Amino acid sequence: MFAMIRKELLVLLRDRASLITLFVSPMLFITVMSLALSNSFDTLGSAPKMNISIVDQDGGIAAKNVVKALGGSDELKVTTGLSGDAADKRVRDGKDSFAVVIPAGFEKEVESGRKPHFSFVVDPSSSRQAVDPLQAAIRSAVLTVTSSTRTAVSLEKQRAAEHDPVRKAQLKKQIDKIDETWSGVTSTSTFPKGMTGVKYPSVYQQNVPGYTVMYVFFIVTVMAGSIMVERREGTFRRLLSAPVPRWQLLLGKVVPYLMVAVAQVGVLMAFGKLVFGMDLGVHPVALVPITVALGCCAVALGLLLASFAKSESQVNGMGTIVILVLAALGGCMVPGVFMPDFMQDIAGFTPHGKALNAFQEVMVKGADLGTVLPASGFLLGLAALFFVLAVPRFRFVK
Amino acid sequence: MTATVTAPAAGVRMDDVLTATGLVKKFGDRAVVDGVSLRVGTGEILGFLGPNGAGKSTTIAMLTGALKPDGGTIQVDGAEFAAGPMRAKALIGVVPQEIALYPTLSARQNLTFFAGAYKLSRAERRERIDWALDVVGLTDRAGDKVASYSGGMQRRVNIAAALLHMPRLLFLDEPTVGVDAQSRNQIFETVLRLRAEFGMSVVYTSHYMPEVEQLCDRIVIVDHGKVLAEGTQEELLRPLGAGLLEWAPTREELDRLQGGMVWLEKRFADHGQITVAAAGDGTQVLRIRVKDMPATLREVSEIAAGTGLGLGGIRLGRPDLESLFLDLTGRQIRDGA
Repeated sequence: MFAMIRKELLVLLRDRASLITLFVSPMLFITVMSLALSNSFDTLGSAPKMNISIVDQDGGIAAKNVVKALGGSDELKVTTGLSGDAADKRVRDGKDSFAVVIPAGFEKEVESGRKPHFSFVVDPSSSRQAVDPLQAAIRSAVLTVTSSTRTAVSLEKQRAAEHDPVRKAQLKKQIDKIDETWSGVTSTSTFPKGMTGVKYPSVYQQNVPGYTVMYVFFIVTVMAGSIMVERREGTFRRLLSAPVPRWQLLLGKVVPYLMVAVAQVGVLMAFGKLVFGMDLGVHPVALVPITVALGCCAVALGLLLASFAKSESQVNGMGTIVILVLAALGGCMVPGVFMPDFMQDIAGFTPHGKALNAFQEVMVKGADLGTVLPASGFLLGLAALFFVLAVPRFRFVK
Repeated sequence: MTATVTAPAAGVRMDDVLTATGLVKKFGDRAVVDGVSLRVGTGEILGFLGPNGAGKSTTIAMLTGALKPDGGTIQVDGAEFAAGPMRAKALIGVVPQEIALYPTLSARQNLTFFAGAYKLSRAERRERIDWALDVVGLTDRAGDKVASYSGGMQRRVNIAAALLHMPRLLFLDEPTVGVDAQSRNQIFETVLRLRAEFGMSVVYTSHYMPEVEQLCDRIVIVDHGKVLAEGTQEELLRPLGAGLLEWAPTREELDRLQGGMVWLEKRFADHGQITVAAAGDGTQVLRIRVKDMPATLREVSEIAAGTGLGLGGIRLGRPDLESLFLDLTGRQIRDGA
């Protein structure tokens, strides 16, 4: 028995692919997932700041105090001095989670005792889970600041009228009346210009495209594994002896998997729509170019893996690592908004992140065909790169 | 499928369907195939013989278009392979060493798929598949998954897949590895039938000598990527004489014998080519490639009577390809490269 244990350990130690799967893969996964979720687990003192911008269109004391108060927050990284359009663009570009707009006339509303109103400009694809608590906190902060500002201004006015008893009495009467009617601040949320959509992504609009993208990439190991089997079993060798050009053999291997990938997206999106009522956006046809480009990228990556791997176990080991790590980095498992900035930046360069973001653009923000073409082009470019790297190394026979 | 071509007599020069000259294939700095030349005549069964790792499969891969040679030329039916690979490939059929089939598909589904590579019409395809299944004797199991077949049956489907386009030249790379005697006989019968009925030429690769002896008109022996010998069985075995006689006296017998092994060697000097080899137990073996077996046996009998040497250490061997390979390389063919 000991001899068998010894032999088995020896065999396992010499199987690098299995060792990588057993040890390196979980280490990578732990690292990526821990980094991705670090925002969710950080303590108040260590949490990274969330980016927002404040547009002060009023310029009054209350508005300035609001800017000052929010700017001093440990949880926020505030950009100020922007025009409404500039703030709008930052939200649209994903640089800020949202913008706070203090409109002109805010000060007068504070002074008059009417409910002062301000607005948020929010990316419609932002997670409610992340944005809602923060908006509530900001509403509360604005209320506190405007309330104290109002009190301070009132006192200042009363002090100024100290030597005019009639004026002082009038002011006190006014202030008492305002105090009786004061009932806080109001706010509304809007989307940046050019972005449509009436709601935040639902759990299905995150999970269905997220896991669809992740599972489309599982075709990488399935396809590469199938190529390895054809090499091992000699079916490629047999086909090479037939009067069929090699490029046809290669396409004959790649195209069916591309079709499967496209079908996979179709079936899973339909599943989301029919079972969970998931909204596909106002231009669902825009999902098509993303789907095709995503499929091309996945099969090209499969071809690349089959070109470099020397055995089926290497295909499984390397493929699993690539798929899971890219899925985690790309925000398929954890919404990007929960990730630190640098992870969100990385996600933008992964095929998973690009595809997921493009899907959500269509489903949540109502993006049309033209809007998703850059992301589709990026995925096709990656597919071309993988293909160019794979083909010179590709071997039909062992 | 009704054409009948009479089997050519061994050794008769025929129109060549395949000619390869100076084939070279290197992997890194190592030449796996190093200047191999061979030819296959119409209706000829050529045995391509060599131990594992001798370069047989690499040579076959080049001859069938799966690998590009680093040197040398290949002509199929008189035309350069490289100049018209698709035309050349349409003339050849390949039965790889592996069971090159899709195990989850049935035999008929496999054959339908491979027939598609040869652009046969639907009717032609159906007819050829039925014929190929009949040739290998698997018509009644055609609908079963290949994975459910025995090893021998899988080998037979493997052959059928190479016959669908009626090739002029069929490559059979180790077609009987791991099959039972019944399937092996069936494969032999198939090969002979293809040659006899359709004039198909066959390149039969194996490291099983008896198979090659039984089937092949001509034989090419390779080792370390080079051709060691080529010819008909008769031509190849002629230098080996009438047979092989080995005499391994015991240590006590040799001690008793005045002059020892040297004396014995001298007694057989005129009987053929003699070598003396060390045996594993410290004794020696006298090996004679005999010219005239009856005369040599008479000499053995006289020596035994005169010296008291026992005959228990004597072994007689008929000249065969195994002994030829041993003679050419000093190794048994199954020792490997």
